[in-house]
Amino acid sequence: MNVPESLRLVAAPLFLIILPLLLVLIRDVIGRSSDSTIALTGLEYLSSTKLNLQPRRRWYRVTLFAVIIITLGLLWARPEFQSSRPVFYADTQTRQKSIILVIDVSRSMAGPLESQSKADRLATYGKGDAGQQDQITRYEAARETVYSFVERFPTARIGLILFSTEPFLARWPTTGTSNRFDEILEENLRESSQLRRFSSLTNTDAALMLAKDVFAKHASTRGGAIVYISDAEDEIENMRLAIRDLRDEGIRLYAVGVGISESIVDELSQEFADDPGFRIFRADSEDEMRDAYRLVSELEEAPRILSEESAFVTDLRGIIALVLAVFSAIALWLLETRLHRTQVAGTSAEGGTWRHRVFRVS
Amino acid sequence: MYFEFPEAFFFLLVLVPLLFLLSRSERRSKEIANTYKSHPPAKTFFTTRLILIVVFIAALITVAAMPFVPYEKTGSFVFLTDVSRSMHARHSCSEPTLLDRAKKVMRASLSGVPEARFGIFAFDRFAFPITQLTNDHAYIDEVIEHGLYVGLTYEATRTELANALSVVAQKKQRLFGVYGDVRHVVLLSDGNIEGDFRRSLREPIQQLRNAGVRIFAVGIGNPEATPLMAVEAGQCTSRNVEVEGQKVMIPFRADVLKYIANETLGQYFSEAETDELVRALRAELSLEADQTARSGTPPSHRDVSWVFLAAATLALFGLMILRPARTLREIDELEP
Repeated sequence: MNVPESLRLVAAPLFLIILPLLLVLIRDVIGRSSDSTIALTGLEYLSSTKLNLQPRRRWYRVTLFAVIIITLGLLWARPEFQSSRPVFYADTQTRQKSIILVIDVSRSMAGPLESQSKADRLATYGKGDAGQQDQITRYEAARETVYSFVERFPTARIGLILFSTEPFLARWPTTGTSNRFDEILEENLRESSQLRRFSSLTNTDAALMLAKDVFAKHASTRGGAIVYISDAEDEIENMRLAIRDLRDEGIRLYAVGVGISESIVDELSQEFADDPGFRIFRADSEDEMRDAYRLVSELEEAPRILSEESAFVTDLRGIIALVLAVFSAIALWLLETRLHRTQVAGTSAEGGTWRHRVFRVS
Repeated sequence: MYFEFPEAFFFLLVLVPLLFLLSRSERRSKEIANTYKSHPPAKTFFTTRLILIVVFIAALITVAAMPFVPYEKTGSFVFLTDVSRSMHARHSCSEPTLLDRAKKVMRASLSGVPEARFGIFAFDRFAFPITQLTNDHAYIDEVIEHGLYVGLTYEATRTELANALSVVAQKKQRLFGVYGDVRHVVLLSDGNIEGDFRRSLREPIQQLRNAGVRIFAVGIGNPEATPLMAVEAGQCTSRNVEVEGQKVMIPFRADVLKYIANETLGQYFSEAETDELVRALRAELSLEADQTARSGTPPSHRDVSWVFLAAATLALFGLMILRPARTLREIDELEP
């Protein structure tokens, strides 16, 4: 869904600042009755015996001032324009592609990435660091994928959910990803870290539902994608339901199954073959993990997705202020030439005083 | 002062023909006045008008250039917020929970120190940083609203305050590039821990001292013990949580929080002293310019367009009320 183009006033009440200016303008229009408006044609006028009253010129003046005042009020009200494409280079991107990385931190993720069989993995359950110090663990491979995503999508809003028995929202989606979530991901499942203590069983659907909730609460999100990395393969029924639930909400899901069986990959791939919003990859090695990351990145970089999930806000104050400056200069030129007005006053022969606003016309 | 769009100043060129026009206008006004055998407006009128017009146009062009002023001082603070189940305590469903009250203090701190970077650690049984250190207060606000809740991690039934303090100290030492500037942590908690707190807190307090971190502890709670209202499907029920037929009551342990604040050379504040907390945080802001480079986040700045907009508005107001005619007294003086 593309962002509807819209205009809004961020500080609409400040528009009322122009009220005193409008009052002065109104006073100028309905001011002292002793004033009269007289149009002059310079010296040519003096040869005429007929006074040429031209009230219209007063209204031209008023109109010019009114436009200036109202535009000034608009500046106070901070108008913004929202669109799916940037209008000026200084536009602020208010809605970015949103990706939530859902990483399994259950005990089995402490096992080596390149373990070939389920029996091997079961054998490593709960013994993450026994004799495997030199091998990259699944958790570490998943962490590298997170780093790669963060670097590949520097303007995206990326969130992070770590899950084991229950999911934990480790990072609300943010564009501030320069530290690549190292504040939390620096911990390792091999050591006696908090993450290690947090680590237990696997609850896939709870993690995916938390991701869905985050998207739902995220006011500036449309669609979005979840990249799910896990080695769980016993949750297929729950996962199937979760996938359907997410797809119903327009959320794309890319599942990277670390060491999961090919039959599960085939089953889910066939079931969702017609759905471009779901892909499942099997990764048993660092190369396969990198391939999965590359494919997901390419899918997420599709122009259609980028334009649908981006929103830009243009602060219109700059352009309006420039237009107003130029318009005011032109208006002043008009006021000083074609609508020139001066006010003259004096004492009449009878001893009274007189005062005129005098327009000059060319 | 800096400008996001300095190219706008090229438009100041419109003032050149305008100045020529205004001087011509002065001559025309005098011609007309002479024609009527009147007196032309005083010289001060033309001078004032010229100044007002120049101010008006120049101020508008400056607004277009989007001026901003970077904050001179900055600081990095971490909220260490208790999200254990006891923070759900309240006397009735119409009252805010302890966590809601903690969030109020956090928001007040954010708005009171707009130039500072903030980050949030949430703790219960575990303690994890749930945001990066950032100047983006809108983001922190969003996290406070949606990303900070009781039950953030599994089994939020325990308040491991010692672990939380230890984690903060360790993060500062392990990730000095990220947390190196953090010297003050705002701890928001009911202090509800069991056992000999002096013993359990001894080591983490030493770690904090070694890391150069002081704790500003904010006590969130009521003088009397507060019941825990049962929550079902995210909704508060009028039922109290009971264990073995006894209402679960959450005591407020200001003594624990005061102890932590004192031992880390920090300060203790009650919820009612949020202004004091803001003042204390502001007093810790420093001029260290390299903090920005270290934290990797752009510096905060203030949009000062409104100053120039106010100048333009006042100039226009002046232009509209400026009267060219002399006062009758002046005319009398001029016409014998």
